[in-house]
Amino acid sequence: MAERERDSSDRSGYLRRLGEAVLVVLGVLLLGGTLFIWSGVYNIGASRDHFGIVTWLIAQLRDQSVNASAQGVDVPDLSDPGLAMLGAEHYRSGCAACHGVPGEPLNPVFTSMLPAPPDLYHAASDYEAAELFTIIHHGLKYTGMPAWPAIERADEVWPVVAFLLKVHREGPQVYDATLAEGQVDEPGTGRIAFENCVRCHGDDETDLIDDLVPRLEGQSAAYLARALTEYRDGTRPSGMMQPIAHEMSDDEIAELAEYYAGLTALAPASDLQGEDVEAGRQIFMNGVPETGVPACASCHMGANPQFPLLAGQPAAYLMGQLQLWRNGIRAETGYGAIMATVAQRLTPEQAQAVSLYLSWLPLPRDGGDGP
Amino acid sequence: MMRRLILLLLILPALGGCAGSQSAFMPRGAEAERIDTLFWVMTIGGGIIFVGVIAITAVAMLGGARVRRALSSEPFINGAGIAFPSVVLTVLLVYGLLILGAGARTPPAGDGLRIAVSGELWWWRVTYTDAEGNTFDTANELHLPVGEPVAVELTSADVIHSFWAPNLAGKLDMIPGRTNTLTLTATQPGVTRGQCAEYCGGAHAFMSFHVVAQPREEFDAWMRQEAGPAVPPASEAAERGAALFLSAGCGACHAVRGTEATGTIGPDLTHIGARRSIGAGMLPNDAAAMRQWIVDNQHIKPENKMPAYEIFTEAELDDLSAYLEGLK
Repeated sequence: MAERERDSSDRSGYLRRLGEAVLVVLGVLLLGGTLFIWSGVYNIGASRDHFGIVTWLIAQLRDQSVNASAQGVDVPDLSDPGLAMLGAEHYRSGCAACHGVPGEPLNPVFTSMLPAPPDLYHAASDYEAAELFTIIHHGLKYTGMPAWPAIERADEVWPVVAFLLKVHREGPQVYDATLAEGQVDEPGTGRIAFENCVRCHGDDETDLIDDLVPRLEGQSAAYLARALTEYRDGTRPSGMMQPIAHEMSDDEIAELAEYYAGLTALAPASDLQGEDVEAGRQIFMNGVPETGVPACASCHMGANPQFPLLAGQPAAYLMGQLQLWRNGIRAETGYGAIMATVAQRLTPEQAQAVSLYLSWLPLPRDGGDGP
Repeated sequence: MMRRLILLLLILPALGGCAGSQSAFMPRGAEAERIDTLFWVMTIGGGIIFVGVIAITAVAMLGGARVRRALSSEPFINGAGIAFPSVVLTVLLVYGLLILGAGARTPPAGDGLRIAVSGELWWWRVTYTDAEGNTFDTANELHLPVGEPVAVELTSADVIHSFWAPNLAGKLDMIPGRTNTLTLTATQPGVTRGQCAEYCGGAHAFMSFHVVAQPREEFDAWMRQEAGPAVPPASEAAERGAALFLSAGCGACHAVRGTEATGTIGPDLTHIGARRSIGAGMLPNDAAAMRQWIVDNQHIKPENKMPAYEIFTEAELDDLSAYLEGLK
């Protein structure tokens, strides 16, 4: 009996001493850590690399985090060749400044960053498509890698992923490092990537780079100017267009809008027949009154220059935009809020039908009669 | 506490009657008068019987031995316990059925006038058809000729609503896929109010209408005016407003007869300026309210089908409201 009591008092005394020891160790660590930070002895300069162990730890943290974030990502079909070309053009505007030309040495300014921006020629061998998407979409803390400027536009990230996969697959020569020279000194054909609209949107001689990009020729100048202003104000989210519009003054916007409005668009090549697009024509001309969908034609026939003309726009672009509205992403502006209300009443099938119809519809030329 | 409660109970009936323009206690229609009569007969009769029962209970508990013996006698129990309720309830049932005209057929409208009201989220589409079959739409306002029974066909475009103009008649559900017929007979001219009486979603409480009972000549004049196309804009501002109405796409949902606006999704606006309210009883009908509705309707009536139009300049809003106000 007495022995058992002594046993238990021994054990509680041991635990108390252990507790005190842990407190002392924690206190010393806290004090030491504080002194270490306060003294400023750790070199935070980019001129000197981290300790090997720190570099290794950060790399583990980064890769585990990227891998975990990529788990829920569904990779869409990236085989459309235009998609990678569109991604290449965004790379030129947004990525090349730091990452340089794939497969070529980096400008010393950027090799002196810590960490230095990697050559993306081999990005696709280090990471899966979903992981590349995660890195481009969300960026990486403490590396200088920014998140996508419009975080809600995950759809815009995939062309860049497609480009990185293509570079890895086919080699760096798929990226034409030279910027197409403007035909003349026209707005939208500048030598700087941000000024060079024609690379993606084409003009009266060059076609669109991809079906995700809208056709601008012959569009209403008021609408083009409003779109650029909304991009510049951040009320129309786009990681591709916001950085471009950010660089533009009111005068440049007006000049560019007038220039594109005055061009005659290339005829879209469509192999659809009239009967394929009849369902879409019905929706465009008459709406779907039973479900509260008004006729598209009541706004989009050119009577009001603030509403865009839709004839001849690629179906993929129109469907993508309708999907944004259905997800509530383009609803921040007055006009966007109206269209969001309408788009949310369209079924995905109706959205597709009306997009196909419009892509098939010949463009109005020189104030022509339209649809 | 008790006193306050009693005070509250005393005030309650008064509150119910304070808006006489929407009250079953102020009947202005034959059907509502019958309901009113039935209500008072039932309430007063029930009240008398209730007081009698309480009195007899008190006597049975506190009265002298002779009275209590009488109350527990078999003849009294047979008479007051079985015969009396059987007779009274039978009489009241027959009276109630007679007065409400249960099973009676709706009298055909004398002049072939047909009125259809469709409940929609959250407003009332009202369609008039005259004897020649001419038809026109209006909204949120029901005009009736005084002294004539009119059959109103009630339907719904979406969910179950209930049509209730308490000063004129009882409520009747509006059920999708079915037509219910309600007879209204206005007995005196005047404007009263009605309300959706079946919860139909978020803005259910904001779904009202006006009933305008008019002498026959006035009603005919209103029909002629309402059946015709919109009046042309009378001022320069209204002309600009009319052009803006079309170019901004309003005609996709709203019809203004006589113009290119032929939408059927929202209320017909051909004679909006002559109505007593906008937004189904939400706002008075004037230019300021028009502006407010165009820009801010999602706050006034959340989730209604019209998007908020935050795209107009102040001057454009002036023009638009001048145009709409002028559509008498």
